[in-house]
Amino acid sequence: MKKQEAIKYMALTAVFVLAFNTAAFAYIDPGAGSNYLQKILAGIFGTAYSMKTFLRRLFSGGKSSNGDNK
Amino acid sequence: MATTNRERSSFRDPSGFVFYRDGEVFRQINNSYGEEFDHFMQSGLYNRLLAEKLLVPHTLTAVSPPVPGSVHAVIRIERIPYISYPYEWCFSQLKDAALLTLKIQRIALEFGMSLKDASAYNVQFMDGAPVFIDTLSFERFSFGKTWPAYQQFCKHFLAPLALMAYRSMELGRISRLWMDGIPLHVAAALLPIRTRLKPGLGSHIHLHASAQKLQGKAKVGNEAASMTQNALLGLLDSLKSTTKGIKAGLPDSTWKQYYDNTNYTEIGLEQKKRLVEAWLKEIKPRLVQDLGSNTGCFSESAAESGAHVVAMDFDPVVIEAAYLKWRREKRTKLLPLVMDLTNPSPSLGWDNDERTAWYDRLRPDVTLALALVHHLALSNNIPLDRLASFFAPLGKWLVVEFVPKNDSQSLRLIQNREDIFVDYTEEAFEAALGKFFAIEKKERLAKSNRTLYLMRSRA
Repeated sequence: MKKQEAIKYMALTAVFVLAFNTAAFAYIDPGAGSNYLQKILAGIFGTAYSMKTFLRRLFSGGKSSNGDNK
Repeated sequence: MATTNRERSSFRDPSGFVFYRDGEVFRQINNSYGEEFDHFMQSGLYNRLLAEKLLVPHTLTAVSPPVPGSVHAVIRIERIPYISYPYEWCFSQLKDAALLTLKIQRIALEFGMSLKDASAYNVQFMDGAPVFIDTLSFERFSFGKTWPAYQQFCKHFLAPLALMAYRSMELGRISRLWMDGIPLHVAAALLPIRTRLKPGLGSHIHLHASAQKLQGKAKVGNEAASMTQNALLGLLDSLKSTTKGIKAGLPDSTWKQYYDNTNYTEIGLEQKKRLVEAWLKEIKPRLVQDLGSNTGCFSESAAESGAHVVAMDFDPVVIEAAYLKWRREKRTKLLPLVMDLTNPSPSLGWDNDERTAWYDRLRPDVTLALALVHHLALSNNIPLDRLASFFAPLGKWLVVEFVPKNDSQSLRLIQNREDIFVDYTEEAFEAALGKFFAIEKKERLAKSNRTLYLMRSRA
C-alpha cells in the first residue's frame, strides 16, 4: 500500500470509529463500510433535517410538528 | 390432497416463506418472527399501510402449514395479477417503487417498526401502482440503531435510477446481472463525473462506494446506541430527495419522435382497434399480453374487455411513456414492462430458479402480436416455423397481424440488406401458424395488404 493511501485509509477509519459506533445486526449484511458511512451521513443530513423542521415550524406558527415525507 | 408448492425465491429470510395451494398464495410465518408479526398486526401499522394501499392485503387463515413444527401463523395473500421484476420496469416504475419503500419505512418508524431490508424485489405492481409484498420485512425498532437496509436501498434503487437518468434508460435491464442490486463501485464507475458533485448521489453512491472498501477490514460495532431519531429521519429525508431529484429528462423531441413513428398514423388503426375490442369482448379473457406494444394503444383496446393487460416492448422509452400516461389516467388494469422478445428475461438467481423466466410465468388467455411479426421475421431473421412454435404455448388465443413484404414498414426494414426472405408470404405464414392454431377469424385491414387473424390454439 502506498504511503498516501495508507494515511487516507487510517484517517478514514479513525473518523468512522471515533465518530460513531452502533449495533446494526440484521438478517442481511448491512456492510461495515456502509454502516459507518450511514452514521456520518445521518449526522450531517440529520442536522439539516432538524433545521428544516425547525424553520418549517417557525414559519407555520408551530402548526407542523415535523417535516416528514407525507 | 391439494398440492403445495413452495415459492422458489422465498428462502433467504428464516422468518417464513410463501407457498401455493389450490391456486391461492399463502405465507407461513415462523415462530422466530412471531412477536414481530404480532406487533406488525396489533400496532396499527398493517391497517395504516392497507388504508394507504401501500401493502398487498392478507387474511389470517387456518390452512395447514407446510412446516408445522415452526409455524406461528399462516396468512392468505391477495394474488398479484402478473409477477414482474425490477429489471423489467421502466425508469418511473422503479422510481415509484423506491419512493414507496421509503414511505413505508417512514410510516413504520411511527409504529416502532422498521424495514429490515429494502429489496426492489419486495415490490410488485397491482392496480396500476407499486405495492409492497413482503409481510416479513418489518421488525421492531428503537431509535439509536442504524438502518441495516441502507446499502441495499442504494444498490437496488439509487444506482439503477441514476444510471438510467444520467447514461441511458436502456441500463435499467443491467439489474439482471446482480441479484442483490448493482454494486456501488460499478455504478460509481459508470456514472458521469458530474454526479460526484451532487450532494445526494455524491454521498449515497460515490462516497458510499469508497466507504465499502473498508468492508472487509472493519466490523459493525456492537456498542451503545448513538444514532439519534433526527439523524435517521434526516438520512431517509435525504434518500427521498435524492430519489425524487433523479429525473429521466428526455428532450421533447425524443418523445415526439416516438409518438410520430408509432402505428398511430397507420391506415386501418381504428379498424384494428375495433376488431381487437370486439374479439376480446367475445373471449372475455382474464389476462392478455400485448407483445411489441409500443406505447400501448392496443393494450388500451384490450383492457376494454375487463382483462388485465401486460404491455411489453423492448424500448424502455415507449414503456416509460405508457406508464406515465396510464398512471396519470389511473388505469388499474394495465401493466407496461420492458421486454426484448428476442432475448426475454431468463430464469435467474440461486440454482437458476429464483426469478422466473418470462416464458414460464403465468400464461395469458390471449396474446396480441400486432405489427410485430415483420420485425421478428425480417429484422431478426426468425423463420416462420420458429415464430409459430414461439407463439404456440403462449395461451389459448392469438391475435396476430401479418405485415407483408410489400408493406412500406417491411420495405424499410430490408432496404439496406439482401432480401433473403423468399418464404415470407401470407400463405407460408398461415401454414406455419396452422400447425399450432386454427384460424377463427381473418380480416384484411383497410387500405393495406395487412391481415389480422384471430387464432385458437389446437392444444
